[in-house]
Amino acid sequence: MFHALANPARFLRLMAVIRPWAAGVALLGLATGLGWGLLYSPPDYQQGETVRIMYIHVPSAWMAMFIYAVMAVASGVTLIWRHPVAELAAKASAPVGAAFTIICLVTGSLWGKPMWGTWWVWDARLTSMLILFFLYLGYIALWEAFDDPARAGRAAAILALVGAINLPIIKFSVDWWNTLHQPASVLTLEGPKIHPDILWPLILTALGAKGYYVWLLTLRVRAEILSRQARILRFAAATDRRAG
Amino acid sequence: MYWASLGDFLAMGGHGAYIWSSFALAAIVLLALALQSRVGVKAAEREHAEARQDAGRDS
Repeated sequence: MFHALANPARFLRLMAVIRPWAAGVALLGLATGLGWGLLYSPPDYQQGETVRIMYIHVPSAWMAMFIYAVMAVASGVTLIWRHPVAELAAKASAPVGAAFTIICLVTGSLWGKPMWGTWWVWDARLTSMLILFFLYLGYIALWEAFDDPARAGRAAAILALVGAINLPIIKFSVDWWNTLHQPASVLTLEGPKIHPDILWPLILTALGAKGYYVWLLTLRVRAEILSRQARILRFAAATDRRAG
Repeated sequence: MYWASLGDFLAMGGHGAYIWSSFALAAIVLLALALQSRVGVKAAEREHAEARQDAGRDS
């Protein structure tokens, strides 16, 4: 399947087919998840209404980590098989992942101030998420740092792979260290510890966020592929002019 | 519906500023990203069309 996807023209057609479906999932998931969370779900007995920030904060955190994982896998595929589209998918994903990370960090502060009494604390969960944000920025910067896109892509791919160690650190930070951030309540060995009235809007919003990411990717990877092809065409034309 | 009135909904038990700022931030960031992505695709399509025209002219 990956080899079929290595053909840019076929990939572009696939993107065009997926795009409306992804948009549909995004709109449906976000509307129902956030609508349910804001209008129908109950407040928390300890945190009151601020628990509704969770419907933004948690899906953003999941997306921040999921997108980085996608980038790491795509980077591995790039380095091992020189798959041309995988590299562009990773490049296109980075700003999206960075955006979700920033949303997670800031909404976390907005939740922490009323609940914990502080905007920030250097506990393991928050610190490792901040590091994730810096990894995204570093990845994006590497693409701009080289004149030769092939070298840029390779350097960025290596950073993405090396940084992937941060993902299990983020996930298990609340278990391995004493953190102010609460421990895992959804993906635990005993199953979710959240009431369904709150869990369902969370899941729906998370699905909508995934749809949004896929929709964005179909646009952004298309842009990367066309840009790259334009560059190749211009280079070929310039070479012909010099030769002829 | 959980809310008795629009006023209650906006006030969010006194924490409205924190909650609505969070939702607003997410909306702004995600909409801006979507807009930037669409602009980027249009620019790339234009760039690609021009490059094809140039290549066609020279060959």
